[in-house]
Amino acid sequence: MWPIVSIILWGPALFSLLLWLIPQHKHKEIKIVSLAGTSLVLLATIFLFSQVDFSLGHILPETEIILPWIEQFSIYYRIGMDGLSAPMILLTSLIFFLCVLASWHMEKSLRAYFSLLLLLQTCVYGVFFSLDFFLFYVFWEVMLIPMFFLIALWGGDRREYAAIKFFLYTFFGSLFLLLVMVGLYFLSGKTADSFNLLALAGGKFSHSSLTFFGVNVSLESLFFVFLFIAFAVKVPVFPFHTWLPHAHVQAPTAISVILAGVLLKMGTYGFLRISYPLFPQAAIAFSDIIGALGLISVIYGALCAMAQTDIKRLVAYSSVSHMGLVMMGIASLTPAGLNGAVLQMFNHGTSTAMLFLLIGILYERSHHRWIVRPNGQKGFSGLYTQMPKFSLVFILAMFASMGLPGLSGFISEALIFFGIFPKFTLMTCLAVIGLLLGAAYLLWLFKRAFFGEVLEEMKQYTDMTCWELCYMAPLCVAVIFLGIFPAPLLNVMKASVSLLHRLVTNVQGS
Amino acid sequence: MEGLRSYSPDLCLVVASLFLLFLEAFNLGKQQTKKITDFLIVLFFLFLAAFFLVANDALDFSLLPQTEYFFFFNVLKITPWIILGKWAILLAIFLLNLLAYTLPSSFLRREFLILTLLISVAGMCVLSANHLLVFYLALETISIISYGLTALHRQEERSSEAAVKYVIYGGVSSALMLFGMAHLYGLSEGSLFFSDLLKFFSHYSSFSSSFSVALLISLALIFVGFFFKLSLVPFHFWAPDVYEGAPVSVVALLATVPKIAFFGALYGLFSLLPKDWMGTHFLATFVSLAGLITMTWGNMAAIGQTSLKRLFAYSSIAHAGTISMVFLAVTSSVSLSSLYPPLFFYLFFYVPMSIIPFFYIQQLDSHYKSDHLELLSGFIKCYPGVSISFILVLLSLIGLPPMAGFVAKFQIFSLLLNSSFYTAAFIMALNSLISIAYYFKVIRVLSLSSSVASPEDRISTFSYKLENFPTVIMGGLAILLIVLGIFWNTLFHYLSQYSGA
Repeated sequence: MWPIVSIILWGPALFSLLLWLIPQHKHKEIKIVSLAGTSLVLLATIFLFSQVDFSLGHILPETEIILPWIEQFSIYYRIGMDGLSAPMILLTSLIFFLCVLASWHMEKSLRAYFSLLLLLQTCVYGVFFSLDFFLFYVFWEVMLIPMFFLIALWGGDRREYAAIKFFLYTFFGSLFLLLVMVGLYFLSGKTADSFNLLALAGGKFSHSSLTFFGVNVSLESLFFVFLFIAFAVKVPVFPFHTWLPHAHVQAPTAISVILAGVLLKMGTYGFLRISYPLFPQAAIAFSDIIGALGLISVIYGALCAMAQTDIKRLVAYSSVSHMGLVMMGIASLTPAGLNGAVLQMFNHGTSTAMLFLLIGILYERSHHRWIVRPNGQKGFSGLYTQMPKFSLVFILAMFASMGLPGLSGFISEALIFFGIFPKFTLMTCLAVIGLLLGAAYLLWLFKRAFFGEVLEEMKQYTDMTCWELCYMAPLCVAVIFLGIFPAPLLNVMKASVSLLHRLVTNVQGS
Repeated sequence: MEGLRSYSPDLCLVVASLFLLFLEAFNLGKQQTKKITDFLIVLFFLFLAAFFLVANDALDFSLLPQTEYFFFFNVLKITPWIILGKWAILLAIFLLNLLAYTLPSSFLRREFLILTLLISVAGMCVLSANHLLVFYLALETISIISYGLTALHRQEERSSEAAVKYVIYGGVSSALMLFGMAHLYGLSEGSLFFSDLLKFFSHYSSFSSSFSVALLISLALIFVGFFFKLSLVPFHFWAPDVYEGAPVSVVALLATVPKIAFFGALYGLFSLLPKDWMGTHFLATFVSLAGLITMTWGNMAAIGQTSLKRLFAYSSIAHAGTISMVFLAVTSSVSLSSLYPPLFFYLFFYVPMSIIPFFYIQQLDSHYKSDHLELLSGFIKCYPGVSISFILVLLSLIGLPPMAGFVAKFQIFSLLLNSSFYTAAFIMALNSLISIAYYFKVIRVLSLSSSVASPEDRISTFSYKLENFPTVIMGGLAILLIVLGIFWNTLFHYLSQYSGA
C-alpha cells in the first residue's frame, strides 16, 4: 500500500511543481492539471479506504512507511494512518478536490494560486499522516507559507493584515510545539524513539519535573499546557480565536473552505494525536478547564455570530462555536464524547465547507456579503424568490450545521452530548444554550436574507449554475448520508478512538 | 614543508590578491574584459585554495579529532574546526566574488576584491593563530582593511563619516584588547603561545582569588575586543552607522568574514580555558547574555527600518547574537565539542543567508541610488525568479522549516535545552517570532504591494542586470537552502565526526 500512501501525500506537491511547466497564460490547462492532481489523490484515498481494515484501531501496518531521515537525532520519516487520521484524510481529499472546482473561475495569477493550493494539500496530509514529531512539526510549519500567500495575494481588501495576523498567531503557537518537541527529545533520553509519537505515548513523563526559579513544575503539566497553546490557536479555542474572523473574511472562497473545513481540524487532531496520548494525566487533570474553555467558545462564538452583519464573519464565528463543542467532547474523555468529537470534526468540515462555498457563490453575484449594510439598509432580501436552487442547498447546509435530526450534524452533536453529560452536567446544559443560539443566528440570517421582497439590485442575480450544483452535490450527499447512516464513518474511527480512550484512562487507573 | 601545506589555502588567497594588485598597478587588461578577468582570477585561486584545503583535510582528523598541528614556529595551528572556519570563509569569498561581478563600473571593483581577499587571509589567520601577538596582528589587519573599505566611496559624506566613527571605536576597542593581552602576558609569566596558556590555565585550582580576579579582568578586556568585532551589545553602536554609510558590497563583507573568524576564535579561546573554572563560566555567561540582549535588541531595532541596508544590518546583528547563545552551553555539563556542530552549522548557513539579500540590495542600490524598502514593491511581477529566491532566503532567515535557517536555529535551540537553559531557549524562540515582523515586511512589499515603477520601465532599465549568471547562482543557492534544510544528515555527520562526539 505504500505507493498509494505516497501518492496521496506527495502527489499534490508533485502536481504543484508540474504546474510551473505550463505557460502562465494557458489557464485551461493549468486548471485541468490541478483538477487531475486532486482527483487522482481523491481516487487514491478512496482506493486506500477500500483496501484496509480499520477494525483493530492500531496504525495500519500496510500504510506505514519508516525511513531514516536524520540519524544523529533519530528523526525518521515515519508516516501511517489509523482511525483518527483516516476521516481527516478523506475530508482533505474531498475538500481540496471541491476547492479546485470552486476556484474554476479565478482569473488572477492562476498558476501560482493552484500551485500553492496543491502545496498546501501536501502539507495538510503531512500533518495527518506524520507519526514522527519532527515530521509533524515540519509539515505544521510549512503549511503556514502557502496559506500566508493564499490569503495575502488572493484575499479581500484587508488581506495583508489578515494574513500576517494568521501567520503570527499560528507561528506563536508552534513555538510552543517546538519547545515541547525538543524538550521531549532530551527527556526521553535521545533514544531511537525520541521523536516517535507512538512510542512516546502512554504517560511516560508523569514523574519528570523541573525546578524553575525555585518552583517545582511537573513537566507533564507544563508540556501539556504548551501543547494546548499550540493547538488551541489553530482550533481556535477562546481566547486564541481572534485571528479567525479576519482570516476567513479576507481569504478567497476556496481558502476559507479549506481553512474552516480542514485546517481547524488540525488543531483538534493535534490534541488527539499528541497532547492526550503523550500526557494523559495532565489531560485528565486539565479536562475541566479545557471543557470550560470549550463551553466559552461554544457560547461566545454563537453570541458573536449573532451580532455579525457580514455573512462570512457569521459563519466564521459559528466555526468557533462548533469547534468549542469538539473540544468539550475531547475533554470529556468518554468513548461517546471522543467518537462524537471526531465525527463532528468531519461533519463540521462538510457543513461549513458547504456554507462557505455558498457564500462564495453568492458573492460572485452580489460582490458584497452584508446582511445589513453599514448604513442600515438591507444587504440581501428575498433570496429565496430570486435563487430557489441556491436557497434549497443553503437550507440543507444550514440545518446540517444546526444539527437538525436526519442530517450529519445531529449525530455528532448528539454523541458529544451523550459523552459530556455524565462528566460535565452543568456545562452540558449551558452548551445546549449555545446550540439554541446556533439555531437562532442561522434562522435569523435566513429570515433576513432569504425572505421578503427582492431588492432592486438583486433582480439580475442568476440562480446556481449546473457547475456550481455539481461541486455542491458531493457535500449534500455526504451531509444527508451521514445524517441517516453514520455507521461507515463511525466504524473507521471507533476502534482507534477506543484505543485512545483506553490509553488515556488506563493511566488514570494505575 | 608540512607548514607550507597547512598554510597553502591562505597563501593562494595572498597570491590572488597580489596578482590583482599587480594587474591594477600596471593597468593591464582591457577595460571591457576587466570585469570577467578579475572574476575568473579570483575564482581560480579560490578553487586552488579549496583544493589545498581538501588536501589539509586529508591530514585525517577523523581518526584523532583532538589533534592539532602547529607550524611556522608554532605561531599557527590547524585543527578540524579551523578547517571548517576556513571553508566558511571560502564560501563567503565565492559569494562576494559573484557580488563584485555585478558591481557597476564606477565602483572600485578591483580594490574591493583585493581587500576582500586580504581580509579573508587575515580572518583565516585569526582562526588559526596559536600566538596572541599573531592573533592581534591579524585582528588589526581585519580592522584596518575594514576602515578602508568603509570609506571606499571617499567622496560620499556618509561613507567618510562612518569610517571615522569606525576608526575611533575600533581603535579604542583594539587598545582595550591589547591592554588585556598585556595583562595576560604578565599574569601567565611571560608567554603568548596559546598552548602555553592552556598549560597555565590548567593549574587554575592553585590560583588565589585575587589572582583569579586580575586574570578575569584581563580576559574580560580581551572579550571586549571580541564584542566590538561581533557587534554585541553594549559594543554595537558602530554597526548600524557603519553599515549604513559603507557601500552595500562592503556591508556584505563586514557582516560575514570577520564574524566567522571571530566566532571561530571565540570558540578557540574557550577551548583554552578550563571547563570548571569559575572564570570560564563567568565569561561564557557574559558572552551569551550579551548575545541574548543583542538578539532581542537587533530584532526590535530592525522592525522600524525602512532602509533595506539598515534592516539587514540589524538582522545580521541579531543573528550574531543568536550565534553567541551557543556559548551558554559552556557553563553546563555538556562537552565543549558539542558546541561545534551548532556553531558551524549556523556559520555556514549564515553566510549565504546574509550575502544573498545584500546581493539583491546592491543591484537595487546601484540602479536607484537608494535602498528604500518601497523600491522592492511589486517585484514579484517583474522578477518572479529573483523574488521567489529572495523570499526563500527571508524564510530561511526567520528559521521556518524546511529551510536551512531552521536547522541552524534548531541546533542551537536543542543545544540550549540539552544543557537545560529553558529560559534562554524560550527567549530565542520568541525572537524568531519578533523577527517575523520585519522579514515579513520585506516579503509583503516584495510580493504584495503594487509596483511603484511600471513593469515596462523596470524591464527596460533594470532587468539586464538581474538576468546575469550571478543571479542564477544566487537563486540556485536559495534552492540549496531548502535542500540542505531537508537533507542535513550528511552535513551534520561531517561536522560531528570532527567533534569527536
